[in-house]
Amino acid sequence: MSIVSYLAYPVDGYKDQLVMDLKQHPHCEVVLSDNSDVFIVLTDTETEEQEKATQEFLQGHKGLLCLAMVYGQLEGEDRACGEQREESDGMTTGEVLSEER
Amino acid sequence: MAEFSRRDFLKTMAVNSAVAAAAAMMPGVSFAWDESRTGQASNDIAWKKAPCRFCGTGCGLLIGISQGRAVAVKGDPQSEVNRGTLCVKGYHSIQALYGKDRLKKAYIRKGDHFVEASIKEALDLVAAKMKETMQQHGKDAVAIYGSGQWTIPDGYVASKLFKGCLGTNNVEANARLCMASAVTGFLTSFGLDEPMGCYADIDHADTFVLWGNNMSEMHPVLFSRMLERKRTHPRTLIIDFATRTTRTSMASDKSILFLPQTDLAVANAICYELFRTGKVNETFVQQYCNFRKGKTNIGYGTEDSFKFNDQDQPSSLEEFKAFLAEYTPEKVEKISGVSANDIRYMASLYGDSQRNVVSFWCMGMNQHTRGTWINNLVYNIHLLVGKISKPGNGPFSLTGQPSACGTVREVGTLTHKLPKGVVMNEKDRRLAAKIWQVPYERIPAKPTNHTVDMFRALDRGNIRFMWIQVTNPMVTMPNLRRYRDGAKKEGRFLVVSDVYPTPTTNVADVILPSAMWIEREGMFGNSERRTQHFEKMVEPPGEAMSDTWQLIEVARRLGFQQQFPWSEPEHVQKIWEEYIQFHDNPKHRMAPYETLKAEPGVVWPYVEGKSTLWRYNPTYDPAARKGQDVDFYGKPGGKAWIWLRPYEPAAESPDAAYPFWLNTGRVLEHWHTGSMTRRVPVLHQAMPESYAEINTQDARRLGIRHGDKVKISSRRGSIVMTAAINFRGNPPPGQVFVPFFDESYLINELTLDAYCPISKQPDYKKCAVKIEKA
Repeated sequence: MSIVSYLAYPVDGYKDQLVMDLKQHPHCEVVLSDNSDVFIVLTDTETEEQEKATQEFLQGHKGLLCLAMVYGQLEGEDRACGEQREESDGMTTGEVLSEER
Repeated sequence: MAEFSRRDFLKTMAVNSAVAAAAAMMPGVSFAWDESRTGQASNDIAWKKAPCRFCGTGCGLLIGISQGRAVAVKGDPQSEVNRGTLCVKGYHSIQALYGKDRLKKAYIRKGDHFVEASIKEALDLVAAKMKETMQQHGKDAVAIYGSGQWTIPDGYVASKLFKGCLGTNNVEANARLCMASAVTGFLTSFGLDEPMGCYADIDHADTFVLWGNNMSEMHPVLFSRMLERKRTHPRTLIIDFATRTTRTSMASDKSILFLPQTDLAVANAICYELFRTGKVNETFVQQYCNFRKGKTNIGYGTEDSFKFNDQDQPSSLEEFKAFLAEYTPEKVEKISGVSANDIRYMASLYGDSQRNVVSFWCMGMNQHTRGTWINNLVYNIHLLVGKISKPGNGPFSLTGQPSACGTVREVGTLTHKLPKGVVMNEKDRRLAAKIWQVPYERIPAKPTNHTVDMFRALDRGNIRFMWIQVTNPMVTMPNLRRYRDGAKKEGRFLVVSDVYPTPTTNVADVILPSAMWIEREGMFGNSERRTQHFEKMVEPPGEAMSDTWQLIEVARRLGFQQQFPWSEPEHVQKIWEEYIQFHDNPKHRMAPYETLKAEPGVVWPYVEGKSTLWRYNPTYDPAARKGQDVDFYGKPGGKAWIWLRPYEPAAESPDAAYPFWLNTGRVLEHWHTGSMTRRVPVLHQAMPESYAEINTQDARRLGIRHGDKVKISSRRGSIVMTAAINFRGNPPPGQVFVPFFDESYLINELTLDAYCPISKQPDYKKCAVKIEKA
């Protein structure tokens, strides 16, 4: 499960189309501002593939000027550096620790 | 907790965080969103206050605890520091507690590998090795190297154990690497350490000059407060005076680039211009300032045998003016690359009687081979125009770590320091001995090794035992290869207390698993003299133990039960109550324990139930004499010192063989060496590896494109990494910038261990390198 919130800045004149496209996307939700063009995008995905596809959708949308990540909870997959190292080396923590000396 | 409710809760937290972030960047923005909504899953959450674990800003957090686990974070709206907002590290701070490779057990080296051990066995070994080392090699063969991330109790018991009980001044902390020049700057100019102002200055200023300070990434919450000030007061100006273009430059009203090291010349040129244009506040200078000069051509500390002691001599206003004649804007333009017009512009802002000016700085001025001098020079500017110790006016050195001020500067965990005063002063030693209940003669009167010297002594074998807590010197020491090789030599014994495996635990003989942040009780002190308490909220994993309690356990094994008698539930309160006896005077009084527990934070001097927001100003500071504008009571006669400090070049400058300047620093997403934030998946994903920022023109000339591998070499080592062109920042031609957060790219193998001879703080911002396409 991955849940990430972003602040989205639309290209001038493209906001309505962008918001409509995001609302129709199965893994995106939108929270609009009352007094600004900036709005919040919330992505909610189950798998890494879904998350990757969602990010590609966001990054490829011509109506999106800038997307700033604010908060993210990535669970169920080894994606932090310490976790990656443990997994890729196939070592226990103690063995990883001993590699230097 | 059901899957649905947890998801609902996380989504709510994610949107709440985005709403708060938007409000920080665009004050007044509103969303069709109920921020009090926290979903079904929040019903069993208890919210508790704590300062953020990461930078020196000291943002107030509310941490949501549920079923013994930290599950949510929000900014504390009651905190005067951040008023409910946080940066991306703050929002993700609790996730750093739960990385999969947290150290939960102790490890002891057996030959070329580690074996798991009980914490008791490991502590027994630590105590035995300390005793054995002192018996064989003397008390100065043992050392402790701590951190500006030490809590106040951590640093206090470390100093008491090593200086008071063992009788060695081998106590240092990594804050030597980040703010020692600010300390010596304050001491030489004002006689007392730490800023006179506070963050409320931002609400009263209309001009901010950032001296080599990328605040939008390093202190983003304070930068947001500046932007808010600008929104509500449109005449507000932000001037980014820096060596490279950053996000801060983009958000500022004016970006002025200077060549590395030449800030010294520009500061003097501003002073020259203030005199030329008649903007000096002569009454203020006459009443509240003296003039001093010190040694010049003072060296760089690159040799092990290097020694330096400054000798100040009286000077005068006339001599100061004559000294400044060498720093006309036209002359300085040739040295610094800053146009004479821009120098005049900066002087005009400082000199404008209708403007309130705050100068901010952090590593750019402090990690500098003339760090003390450039701190003095910025104080000179503020003193000449009398814009100091008043709301909205003042020089303000920011810190990079959560308790660099609270622990290292206030407790005094540096070789020459005591909780009050310095080891060289008999009166200060007697006070420490009395409070610590140790013989006065046991506290040595001479400092031993500052940080670089301490690691040199470890390399040479003068130090044989070193205990490292809450820091990662095998990533952060300059000229790193020498000090890593030294630490690995035969006959050295290293104890490392940490929360995750790091390159420093890799060279340890004993690894102690530490309780992190809200897994224990403690206090941090931030950049504005604000002390903030946090309680123990969750249990540490496995056998992890607070650094304070590790030290107490070892102290007792060494026979110092009398000095460390406290029970575990009350030890932090007892330590605080003992510690504040050192500061029982109106110039530095600390708040009682009960007040700290109740308040989001309290600014010292805390006198008659009130924080002191502006020191030296009798309107706000009870210790200052009434009837005058300011009373710089740290110096004789209440007068600050204006210093004659010249421009001198860097220790190593580009040449034909190594034609680029190398500058190192931090990024928004990662805390220092990344040992915690790189365990947070979303932060790691946002900034997964380090990179080398190269100017577009240089890249084109060298045939390097964004994403290419490049080899960067100095006289000390080489590194191959990814080039970043027009990325987050952009250095000018002839300069390269590399962040240091990534242990896979140890950029400090290339940096030079030159330091400011007064503060002993190394310069991580300037050495010479060459770049090749790899």
